[in-house]
Amino acid sequence: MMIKKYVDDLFHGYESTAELEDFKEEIIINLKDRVQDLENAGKSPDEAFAEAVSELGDITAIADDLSREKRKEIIGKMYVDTKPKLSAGYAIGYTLSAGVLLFGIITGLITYFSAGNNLFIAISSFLPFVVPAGASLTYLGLTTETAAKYPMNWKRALIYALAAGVILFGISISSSHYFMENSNPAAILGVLIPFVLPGILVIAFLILTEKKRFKPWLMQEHERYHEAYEGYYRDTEEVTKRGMLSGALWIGAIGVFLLIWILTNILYALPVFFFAIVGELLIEYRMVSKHKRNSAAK
Amino acid sequence: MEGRISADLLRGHTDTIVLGILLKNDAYGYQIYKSIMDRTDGLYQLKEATLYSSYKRLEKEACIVAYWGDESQGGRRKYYRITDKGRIQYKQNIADWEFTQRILNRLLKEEDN
Repeated sequence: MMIKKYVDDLFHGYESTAELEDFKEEIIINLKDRVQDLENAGKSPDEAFAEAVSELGDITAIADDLSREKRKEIIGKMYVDTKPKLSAGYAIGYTLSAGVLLFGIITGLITYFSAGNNLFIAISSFLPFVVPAGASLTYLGLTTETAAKYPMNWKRALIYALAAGVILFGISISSSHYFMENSNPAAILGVLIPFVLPGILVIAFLILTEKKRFKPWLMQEHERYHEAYEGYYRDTEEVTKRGMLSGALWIGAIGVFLLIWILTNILYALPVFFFAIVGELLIEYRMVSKHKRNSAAK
Repeated sequence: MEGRISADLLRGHTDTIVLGILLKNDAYGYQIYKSIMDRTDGLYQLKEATLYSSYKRLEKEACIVAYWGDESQGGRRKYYRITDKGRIQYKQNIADWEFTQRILNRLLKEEDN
């Protein structure tokens, strides 16, 4: 098997394409035949191997051809900017959104100073700008192809953008309420929660069900990284998912708690945390059993 | 004076040599290599890599097609077969060579003129 190992080593570092594997098989069998002939002619196995290999010559030029795509990718990573170009529509979209946001900030400031330092009015006048700008920036950001990621599906990105818009709307409405004279904390929360809570829940759901959009080369990097750290950490992906799950759980719990508190009484609201703790335990249990199952499968 | 082989000149004709060998029968890599060695009595050491790139080139030009044999012992071998286009190419290359040879002879052999 010296020949097979030699050929494998020869092509070490080339991306394995079907064509390259084909080529390797061809070289191996031809080398074997050659070694056999030389041995039949009275050479020792080592001599025969050395001679056959020396007759082979520089084979890597052909391998380069067969793995050209790979080479392109490597060269691209090293020298060429593989960053995809932003289309004109997106460039305009980004500029407009940033413009709207800036305009909103300026309008807010002007209102703030001209209305006698009244934050309520300032934030209220900022609101019509920050919501569409934030939502459209979210949408554009998610559907833009970058060097590392493919763009998100536009429908999914639209849900993200809507949720972000709703959250922004809730935050600005309630903060403007906060600065309103004679404001009531319960009323502020009452305004905040119906917007922010569903928005966060929607985003948490989307993040948890997110598909990977990394480009192939990045996936390979991740794999390498993963292999290198396998001994040190548990499955990093699992840990991330677990963290997000319990994050969503607790945000939801606090939201429900506040809602019940406002609508009824704090005594009725407290049991929510009990359920949250039970939920947390269930998540932990699920992760542990999944981890066991996975390690057993390996 | 003993002549030595011009490796560059020969390399330029690898494709034609391969096509010439395949004219009679289909053959796999090592057969082609061996038949070149036999014909030159080992005077010229053609690297196998040169042949491999020739196969790839000829395949791309549709002058030859490759197929795997169905050997049951010692591993399958990859055979090459010449196509009609390859036969035409071979004739053309030979005609080109003969023409070039005539011109070269006229240019190089000063004393014969």
